Amino acid sequence: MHLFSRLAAVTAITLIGILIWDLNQERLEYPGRKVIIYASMFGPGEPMQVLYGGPAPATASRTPLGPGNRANFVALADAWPGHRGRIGAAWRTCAGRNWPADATPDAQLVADYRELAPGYVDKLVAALNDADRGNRLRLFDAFAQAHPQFDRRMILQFERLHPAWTVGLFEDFERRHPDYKVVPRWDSRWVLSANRPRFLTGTDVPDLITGSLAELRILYRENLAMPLDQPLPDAPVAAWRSQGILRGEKSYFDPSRTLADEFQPWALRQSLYRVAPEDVAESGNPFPAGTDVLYMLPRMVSTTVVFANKAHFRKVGLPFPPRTIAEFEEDCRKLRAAGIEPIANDGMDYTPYWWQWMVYREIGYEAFMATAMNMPGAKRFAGPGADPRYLEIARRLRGWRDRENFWMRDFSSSQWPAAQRRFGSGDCTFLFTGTWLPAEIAGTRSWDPDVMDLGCFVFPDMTGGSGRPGRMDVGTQGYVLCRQGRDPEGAVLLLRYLTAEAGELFARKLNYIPVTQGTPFPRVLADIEPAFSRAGPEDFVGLGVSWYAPRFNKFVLTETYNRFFVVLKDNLTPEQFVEELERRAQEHYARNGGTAK
Amino acid sequence: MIVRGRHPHLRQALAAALLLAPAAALFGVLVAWPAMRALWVSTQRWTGFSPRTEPVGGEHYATLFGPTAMRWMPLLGAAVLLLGATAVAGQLLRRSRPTARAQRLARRLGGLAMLGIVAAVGTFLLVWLLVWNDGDSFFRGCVRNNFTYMIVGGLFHFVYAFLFAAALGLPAFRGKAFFRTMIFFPSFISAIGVAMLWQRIYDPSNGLANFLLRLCRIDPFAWLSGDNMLNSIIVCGVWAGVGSQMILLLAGMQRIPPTYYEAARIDGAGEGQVFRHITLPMLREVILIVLTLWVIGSLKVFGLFQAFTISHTEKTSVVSVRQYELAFSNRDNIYMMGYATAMAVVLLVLVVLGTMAMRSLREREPLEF
Repeated sequence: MHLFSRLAAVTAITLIGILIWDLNQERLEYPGRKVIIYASMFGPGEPMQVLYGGPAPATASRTPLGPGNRANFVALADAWPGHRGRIGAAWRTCAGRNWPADATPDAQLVADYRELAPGYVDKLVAALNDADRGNRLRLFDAFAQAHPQFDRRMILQFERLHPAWTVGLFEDFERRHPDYKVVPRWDSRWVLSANRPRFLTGTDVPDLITGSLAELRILYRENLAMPLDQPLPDAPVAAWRSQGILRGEKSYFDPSRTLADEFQPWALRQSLYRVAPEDVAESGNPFPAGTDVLYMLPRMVSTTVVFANKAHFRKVGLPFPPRTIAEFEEDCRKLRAAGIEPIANDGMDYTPYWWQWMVYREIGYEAFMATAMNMPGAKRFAGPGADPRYLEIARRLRGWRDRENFWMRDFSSSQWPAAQRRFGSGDCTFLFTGTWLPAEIAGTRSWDPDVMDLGCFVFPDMTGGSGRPGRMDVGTQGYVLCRQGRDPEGAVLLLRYLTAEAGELFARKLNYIPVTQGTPFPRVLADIEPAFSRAGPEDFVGLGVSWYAPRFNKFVLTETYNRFFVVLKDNLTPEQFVEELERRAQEHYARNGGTAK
Repeated sequence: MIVRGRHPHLRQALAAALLLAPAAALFGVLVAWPAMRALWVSTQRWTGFSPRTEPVGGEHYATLFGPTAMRWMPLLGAAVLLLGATAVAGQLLRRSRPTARAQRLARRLGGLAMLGIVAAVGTFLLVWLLVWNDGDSFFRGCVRNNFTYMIVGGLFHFVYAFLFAAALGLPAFRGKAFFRTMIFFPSFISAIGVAMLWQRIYDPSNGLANFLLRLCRIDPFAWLSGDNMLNSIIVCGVWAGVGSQMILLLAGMQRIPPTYYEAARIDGAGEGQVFRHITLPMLREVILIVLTLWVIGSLKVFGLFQAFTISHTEKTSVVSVRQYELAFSNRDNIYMMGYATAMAVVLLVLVVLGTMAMRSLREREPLEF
């Protein structure tokens, strides 16, 4: 009996010890240093988009020069002729092609490479054929040691040469603050699900978590995120107690400016969360319903645009871009007549965007939201008090699908990312999606301008429609400071650093629209830059139903739309579609006390 | 050693309890408690991010099944309770009266009660699926898809597995090892890998399936459209799963002593008679195990459906995928742990029901050889 109880006690103590060690291993691993845990949906060096799009053939995994490596190889050889033989051999192995003898080196890139220390160039050239991704980090260290003169621009400099930039940022931060260690967790798309048990138990919670404004909403609702623009009475820092983090903290490099001054005002505005009554009643959010609170510090923005292959426009002789839906419709007809499939689309992915944006243009965002949210006096989808334009839009879309054949062949059975691959290879003309697309297709698209000449435009206006012309949506991504994190001061320091340093990287690498002052607009989105730069607050639509009423969006709108638009034997007709929409909406309101949730 | 002393029975019981304690504790902590907790969670509104919950009673079940089904639910509950009580009475009778007649009666009572429960719940589900048109239509679609996968997929799985096992069991068959490995090999691949592979095969533009159709001058087929996806997944599931069933059946066939076959053939039995009167009865237990495993697996199927497509309609989803979508999906920004757990409870009932149905076929005395 004694033996048994001893055994049981030893087992229990061992299990508890393992549990404690497991929960603290990331901190125990770095004794004497303060650990900041950073949970993100992006991966090191290869951001999610590039991962999903697939690496550039025979490059990303083989060479530290990363995508767009041809120009880098050529420039490196031009800058360091003594290494030309080894660089040429590495190019042949990586690319499987002969040396591009006729290529003209990029002067800026050649100048960049000439600035490198000879010892570092030896290491870089030796690494050209090394498939080990950890090699990039070793190169980063070597780069940092050999080029102290680059100082704060080092990351950007390094980014031009190597793709391991996310981790590079952390390494640079640690170099500046040796008492800190940033532990990144690459939790991919499921960053919230992966961390949910941690939030629930309050153990091992990340200090910072990144994601989109909409996806992280649950953290604001459940009061798990730290408000950034509100005074924090219990905060450890005096400035936070009086002015909050956003205005109480200084810019990382310029102490004369606050952290708030770093951002474009519209970006902060678009990142606010309006506390809902149910957040207060059900989830214990401490702010009164209706208060706008900044829980997420933005780092980049995407918008939904129609991407287009301008090579097709030239081929068919069409002016670019179409300004109205009628022009767009006509363009599609001419493209179809020329044997080109107009719209690329995968099954159900992004398909509801078409209906939604037609509604925004024809009926107006506010009117649609009033209908969806069951506001008093708002027009309905069907039945008495219906707005007949909902039905007209459904009929028009069905006509595009069935009569006019605007969508690519077999789109209904196409699985992501097949449509974007077809678009990128020049098979289809339009793809309606977020501005992350160029990064996603970078490795798979054609770079021949006669096959694929990538352009984009804001969703066309509807002549005579009630919606404000030219309005765009804004999808913000950013950082949330977790209330249960262990080191809020360290996390805020890292936030200040990332705000100062990462913006340009995101804009350049992922083509995200910058949120910080003075960061250049991505070149690939140049077509929409004028619209964006002159846009006022009224030129952005709100966050839509998916934000304000996610359940309504999923159970009523999306699921009904999928029965209408995705080709099925028993597709709903346009008339059945609006009726079913209304029926399900009423059912939903009844279940949720008359509101859309 | 431990059972010596003045009260050997007591000490024996204590020793048994001590030895069983770790297993019982693990079962309690890892199975029984979570199962009871799941039942409780299914009656709450809960995001899973904080301990805060809101009790909603049977609201989630009412949403799943709809008002018509909920009206019949008390009657079904009463029937199940009554039949359960009958089964317990049978067991009590069996223990208290050791006579052969009482044993027979008790066994029959137990069997009938189990069949009754299966029939009552089965009928209820069937009517809910086919007649009552309220409740969560997406969930109903998922249950229907689970049953389609179980019945149609099961049929193909079993028939192919049986044919392959029978062929590989023939003494004259050459290259057994090669074919056995070839058929069994897909079972090694994870569900995600299988789905990825078949997604490529079914690709409408560049897939192997449509390439073969084009070679035969047949129009390409939309394998992964909403209408066809379930059948396409069934085909892929059969390819991936038939090997493991075949191995079990083959092992069962190889256990049958060859002397039985020899004796039957000497007595002039034909191959059909040998199969009907020797192979089938002697494989009965193995077949039931294979079918039980299939019923459980097909009701709980997840990976294959989850990996085949990002977005599902009610024609392509199954219960576990829907459950996952509602409980964990970052994309939709809805965290309905309570509702998803209610689905898990219904799924558990379906699995138990399926297992009971299979068990009821095993009531006969097992053949010993």
